[in-house]
Amino acid sequence: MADEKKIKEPLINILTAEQEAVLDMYINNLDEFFNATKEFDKTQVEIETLHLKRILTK
Amino acid sequence: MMQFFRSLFGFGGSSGTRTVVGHHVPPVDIKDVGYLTASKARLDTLFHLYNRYKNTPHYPKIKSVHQKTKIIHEYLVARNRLHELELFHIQNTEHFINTFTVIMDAYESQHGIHPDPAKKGSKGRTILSSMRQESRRKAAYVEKPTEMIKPVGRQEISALRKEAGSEVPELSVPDVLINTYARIPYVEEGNVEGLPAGEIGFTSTEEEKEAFLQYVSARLGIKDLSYLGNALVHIPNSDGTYPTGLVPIIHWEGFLYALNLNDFRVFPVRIYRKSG
Repeated sequence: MADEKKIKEPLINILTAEQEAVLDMYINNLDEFFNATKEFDKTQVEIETLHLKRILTK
Repeated sequence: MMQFFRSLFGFGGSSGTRTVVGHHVPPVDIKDVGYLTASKARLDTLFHLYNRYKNTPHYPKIKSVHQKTKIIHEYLVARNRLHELELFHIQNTEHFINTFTVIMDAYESQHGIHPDPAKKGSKGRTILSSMRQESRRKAAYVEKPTEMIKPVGRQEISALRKEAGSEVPELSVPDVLINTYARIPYVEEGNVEGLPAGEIGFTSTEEEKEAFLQYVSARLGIKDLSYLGNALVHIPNSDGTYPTGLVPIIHWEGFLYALNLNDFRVFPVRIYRKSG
């Protein structure tokens, strides 16, 4: 009894399998975009750091 | 790619295309404000969208789309990369919103559920629609609508005139004539530099008009635009020049505006209708 905290509401499935797949793909797309952006920024920082090092050790 | 790294490590000579970070000169501030508003509006739309999916097993996924989009928004806003954010939205968010809104709308109309009128668009729109409702209500009472332009008394006028120096300028809403055959090219940022993204004219297809309106909507940060056609006008640029040419005429919130595509200034106009 203590486990049943919520009244079970029927979850209506309104997406086709294809649409669900598209949804999943979009979520992956978002993740990839964000990771790619972060990676790019990281490399930018590394590039600038190396360039600075080069200048200082000349 | 390797050439690039070589040039970095000193094997290809210096490049000369480096930017110094930390000298923050905000180049085009006004555009950024529009992008920020547009992004917030999309986040709002996503929020309302995932709420519509509450009783479906897809709810957590759509919610996570909102969450992740929000993270991307915050990341880019923090780094002042608003143009990139706008590009991201146009290439991703817009399509997602359209697709899953249509799915939900189709489902709801199938099952005879009235689409929720409260869940429409951004805050801006609901403020404007409540203002419209206000004026409609007032009109129904046959009451004089609240005059928002403060009339000045005689003494005030002479004081203000002295301040203004010369004549008080008279703002006008000129008549323009819609040209029904010419098309104007327009350039979109992010595309190949200098090449027009498309052309817009009275004879353009619905898709072309829609694409143009999406572009203008995003740039100006406003929604619900309609395109009427092009008109020949003398139009001022922000740099002081006053060229004559064809400009697009758009309809927004009950009024018509001529749009200067160089600096995205809008000028109120009326359409001149030839009689006979």
